[in-house]
Amino acid sequence: MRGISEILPPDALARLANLGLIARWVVEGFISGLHASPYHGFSVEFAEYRAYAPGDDLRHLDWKALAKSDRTYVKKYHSETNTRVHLLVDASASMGFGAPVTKFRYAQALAAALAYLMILQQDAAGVVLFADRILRVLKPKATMQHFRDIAAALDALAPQSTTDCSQAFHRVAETVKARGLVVVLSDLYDDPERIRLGLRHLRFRKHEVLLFHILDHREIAFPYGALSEFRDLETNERIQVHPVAHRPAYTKALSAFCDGLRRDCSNMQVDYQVVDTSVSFDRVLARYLARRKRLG
Amino acid sequence: MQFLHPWFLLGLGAAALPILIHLVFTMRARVVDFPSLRFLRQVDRQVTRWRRIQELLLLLLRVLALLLLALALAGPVWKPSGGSAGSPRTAAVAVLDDSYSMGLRDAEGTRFARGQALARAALVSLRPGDAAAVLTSGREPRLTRDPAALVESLDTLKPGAGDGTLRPLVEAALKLLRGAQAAQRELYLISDFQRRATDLAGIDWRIPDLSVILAPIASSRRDNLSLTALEPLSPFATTAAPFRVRVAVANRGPEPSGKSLKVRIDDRVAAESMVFAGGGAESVASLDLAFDQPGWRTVTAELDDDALAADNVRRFCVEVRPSLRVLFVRPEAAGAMARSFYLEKALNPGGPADTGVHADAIDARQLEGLDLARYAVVFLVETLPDEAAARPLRAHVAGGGSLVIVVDPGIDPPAFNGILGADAVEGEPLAPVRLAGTLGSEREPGSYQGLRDVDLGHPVFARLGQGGAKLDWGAAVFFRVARAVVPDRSRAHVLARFTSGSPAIVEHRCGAGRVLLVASSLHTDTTTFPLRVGFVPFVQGLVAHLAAPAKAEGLRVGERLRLQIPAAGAPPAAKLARSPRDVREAAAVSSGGFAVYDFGPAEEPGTATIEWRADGAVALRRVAINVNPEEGSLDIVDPLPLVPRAHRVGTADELKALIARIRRGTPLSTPFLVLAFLLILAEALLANRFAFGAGRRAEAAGPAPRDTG
Repeated sequence: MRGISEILPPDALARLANLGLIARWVVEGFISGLHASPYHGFSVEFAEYRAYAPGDDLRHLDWKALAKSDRTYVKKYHSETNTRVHLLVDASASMGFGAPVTKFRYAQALAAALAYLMILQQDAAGVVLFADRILRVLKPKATMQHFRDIAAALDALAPQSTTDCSQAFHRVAETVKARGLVVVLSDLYDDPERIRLGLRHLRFRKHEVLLFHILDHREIAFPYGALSEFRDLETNERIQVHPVAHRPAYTKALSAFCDGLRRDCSNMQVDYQVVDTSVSFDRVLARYLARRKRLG
Repeated sequence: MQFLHPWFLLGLGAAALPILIHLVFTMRARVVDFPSLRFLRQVDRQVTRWRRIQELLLLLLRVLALLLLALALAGPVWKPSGGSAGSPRTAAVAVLDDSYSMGLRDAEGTRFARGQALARAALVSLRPGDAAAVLTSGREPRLTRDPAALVESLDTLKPGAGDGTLRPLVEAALKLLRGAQAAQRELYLISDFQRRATDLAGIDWRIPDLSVILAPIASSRRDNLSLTALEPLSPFATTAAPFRVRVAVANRGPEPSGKSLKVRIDDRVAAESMVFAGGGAESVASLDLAFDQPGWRTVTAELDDDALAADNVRRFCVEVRPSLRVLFVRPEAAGAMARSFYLEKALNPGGPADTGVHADAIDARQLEGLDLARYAVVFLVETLPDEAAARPLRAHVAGGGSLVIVVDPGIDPPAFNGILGADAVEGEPLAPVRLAGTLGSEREPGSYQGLRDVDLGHPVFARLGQGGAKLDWGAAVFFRVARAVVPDRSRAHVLARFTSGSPAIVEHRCGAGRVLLVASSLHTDTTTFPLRVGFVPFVQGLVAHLAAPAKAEGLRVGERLRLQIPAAGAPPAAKLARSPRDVREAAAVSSGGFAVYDFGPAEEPGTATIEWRADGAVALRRVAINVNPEEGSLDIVDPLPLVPRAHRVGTADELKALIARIRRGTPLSTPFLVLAFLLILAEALLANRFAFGAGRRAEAAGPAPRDTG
């Protein structure tokens, strides 16, 4: 069975209004494409009994105990959370670039899909939305309700302000004591040195870090022609650019930036991936799963 | 630069269009939202600078292309001299070389005729009111406002016989042009540009609006034989003896050539020969002539006709005597080895038939009452006449006769000074020196004398150089000589000195005649001189000089015809006759004891007879006028490097085209259009290279960041 990501391109998918639905389609399509049960890997352990109280779900009533002792007990299970995953989503103004779907919308959809997949796998997923400051934090939980909260939180924000990735990295590193997985979705328009320090801080806290560098195709190829005035989405600064003349040096500078990041990430054992917004979500999810598998 | 359609220059404003378009596009650049300008800002400084250079270069090319298009439409014309296009005032001077080398004839006619055609082509396009002149060696340098009349007068010109150089004509032409009120000045130099005549270095050509056009007249003929010399070898021209002449012929061409040579005496062919000369070489021939009548005769050498006729004839004039009579006054009237023996032998080595000299000998006592006028020269050899005998000698010299005094070294100086040194002839002594004893002794070899300070330019010694003879004057030894002293304020000329510095040979004018003194015996018991090679030509030269005028000086065309005779008894005027109809007169001008008659420059080769009256009789002198043989040279130069910014033309058509360019200018529309097209092409190529070159650089910069998953 082919997944929804293979049927609809990511830009078409991301344009759908319901982020939760998008995530579900993406993940279920992705999982069915794996030819395995979506519940593999989930562990549910018995914890204790407690007396039944009205309102409890009858599905959890221990019928055998009722038959033996004629007492109503409800089984309490200890839901085992495999890991805690923090989704750091960049909501700076530069993420508002892109057409027909913006980098932010792509990141929203991707973050929702990742959260859904994590929760399905009994992983606790949390979200940190940031721009030049932390905009919203949802602590990791492994419930579907939490997924809906995540989707709502993601949907509620619009790109704004400048980018300060490092602040978000440091904040997560400081506040999250337990070792977990940090997934970053950002265009990383921040000082490379600060980004490196932030990532090092995360690694220092034993977090596994997965860095998705979200870039629009036009950002990569710079396919502009005539003399234009380029406006910075974050600062509103303008400069006149002759794209034809600038293209070689621009491409070179961007490549150098990405290569530098990749090298730093490699040194810090951070998984770094450039994500073109025209690329299918499945590839990102597969990358995530591969990383998740290494965590055990 | 001028413009035929200047209103098209308004189109120059179109050059502002690319600038305006550039500015408009720069101001109206569309706004593009971009996530971050970080990388653009990072590369902007280097890229923008290079991009700005590219844009400025392209902008410059576009502006230049439009400027050139507008200029091309305006009809630009270039005038090298900078004068205004179509100016009505032009001053043109044609320097037409009329030296005789321009008479060189080939299948297309003479060089001069072609030069006339070129001058006509240069002047015929002038309009009334333009100033023009044609300068030749014989024309007054003057500008005329009637070019048409000037063109007509060209037909009357002929090549002259002169050998003048171009420099004076060019300087006169430049002077005319410098003073002319004209917007355009043109100087045409029409010549064969012989190497010897093209002396244009150092001329100041700086005249506003001057165009110099050089028109070298080339010729297909490369052969010409020139008579370079015709001169007498015999010292005396008499009817009694053959007269030997030397003829030199130069071959100016590269190939060997031979011609028939005729030598005439007046109109009679006296000798005939063939002469051959290798390429660039000279051939010399000696011919014996026989004069059949005394009097002034013209000897003419003539080569067969060739490409250049003017240098095929040379001539000289000589006064022929029945015989040349010389008197020797010596101590003994007769004797086989008389004191004058070597002198007589030198004058007549082969007897009277050899040179035509007839010598008489007497002793001093026989002088009294003797008519000395029939002797061309009287030798007073080692004898001292007494006062009575000296009188005829003084009269002879005072009347224009010549005397040679050969001093006996043992002579008594007071007696010599008393008779020959006394002021006796118009306040002058007969002898040019006074004697003061002797120098040297036969018994003292260390006291022997030689000759030094010999005036080889004097006519006495002129014959010694003939045939390239080099004589060692110091080799003649004088055992004992008279010590002579030239008196103060004397006008005597010392021709040679003894090694002690004492005068050896001295000459002075005395009355109308001349006296020459040798301060030594010329006998072998006193000196070895008579045995030396130079003795015979010396004695013959002495007689030829003192017997003058036996041969008149030859003149070149252009030199001044002058007669110089002693002022005493000189007439107020003299006549010069070139032909019975060409007779001119010149008044005497006194100069240093002489009367000088100047008849002006000799214009044509030939002969001229000068007549004047002296002592009631008519005196005659005939003068030969020859061309300069060097003018026959075929050695020419390229004049272009000699004249700054000059033009060169070869034919009348080329000249007309050049004149059209000079006067109307060179049209530049086509070059401007081509240049504009090339600029547009260059702009397109550069623009394309800048655009696609960027793409190639982008590829070279490496791949863009990709999804590394």
